[in-house]
Amino acid sequence: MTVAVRFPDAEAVVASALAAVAAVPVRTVIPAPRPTSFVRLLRTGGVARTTVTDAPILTVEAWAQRPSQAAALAATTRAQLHALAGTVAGGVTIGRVTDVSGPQNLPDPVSDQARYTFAVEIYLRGTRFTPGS
Amino acid sequence: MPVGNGNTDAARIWTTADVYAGPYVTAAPTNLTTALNTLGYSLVGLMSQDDGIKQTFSADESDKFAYGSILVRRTSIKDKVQFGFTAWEDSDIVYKLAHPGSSSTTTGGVTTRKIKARNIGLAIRSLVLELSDGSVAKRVWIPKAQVLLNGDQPLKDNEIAGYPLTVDALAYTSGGETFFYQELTNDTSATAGS
Repeated sequence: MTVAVRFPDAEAVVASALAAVAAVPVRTVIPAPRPTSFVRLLRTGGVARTTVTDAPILTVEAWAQRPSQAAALAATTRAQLHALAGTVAGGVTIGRVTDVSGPQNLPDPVSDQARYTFAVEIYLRGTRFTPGS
Repeated sequence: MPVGNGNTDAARIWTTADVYAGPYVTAAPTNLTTALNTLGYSLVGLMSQDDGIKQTFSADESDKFAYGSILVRRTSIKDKVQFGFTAWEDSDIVYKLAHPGSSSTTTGGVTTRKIKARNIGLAIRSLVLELSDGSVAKRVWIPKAQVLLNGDQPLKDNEIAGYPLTVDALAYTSGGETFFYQELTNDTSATAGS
């Protein structure tokens, strides 16, 4: 027997869960006007790991005024993301969270604003999908 | 194959897991909410995520063939259930699980441990495995668990010096029934007769 599973919008689920604990705005697009400090999440890959589990790779950008502040924001956000493992956010069960790429000092090439980035893989449980629904 | 009617909600992936240990025999949890330390259990602590908790069923099995290579029966004796996990904390509770009968004393902030040959009789404990998958929870009570350190402990600079522990679920008799372990779960998929 096979079944179809619909996986959740990883950016929306994780951004919402992260926003509940973060001290800065969490967005999936760069806000306008741009805050001095914020976190941006982008799905940059990942595949289903089991029939019911998607494993999106999320690239995380921590923006701040100075590199040291961006580094601190990235470290805090990384810890907050790892702490989501085993929780339920918006009805979606979040499984293991693993590092894919550690923090990098990667200033925005356009504005030169300080920015650290890193990537994590997050297991998200899907729900049964009925064709035509 | 066409899309079927399987229930993906009933497929379990245990996203969190903890092991609790108590002396033999510590009472069974009767629900999924009462804190296990109030029953006399102690949290074993961090475990290797990659190793997880491995459950193994084994038995001595033998095929019985009639002349003509006709398989008539398969016998199975000596059923055995084992659990395995790697404890990552070098705590006193893990030490005592890993080295039953060894001594440990602390004076002035300095702990002295003398590792002796294992006293297998002291390796028998009661354990509870606490698992969750979103809102679905399960508690596995192993009333008579023989815990043995079994494997390699890496002492190096790029690995955690974990304690690989093997748990044999020994037969336990209660209420007229002999069993290896007992589960409690709020998983509606597990409803008896469903």
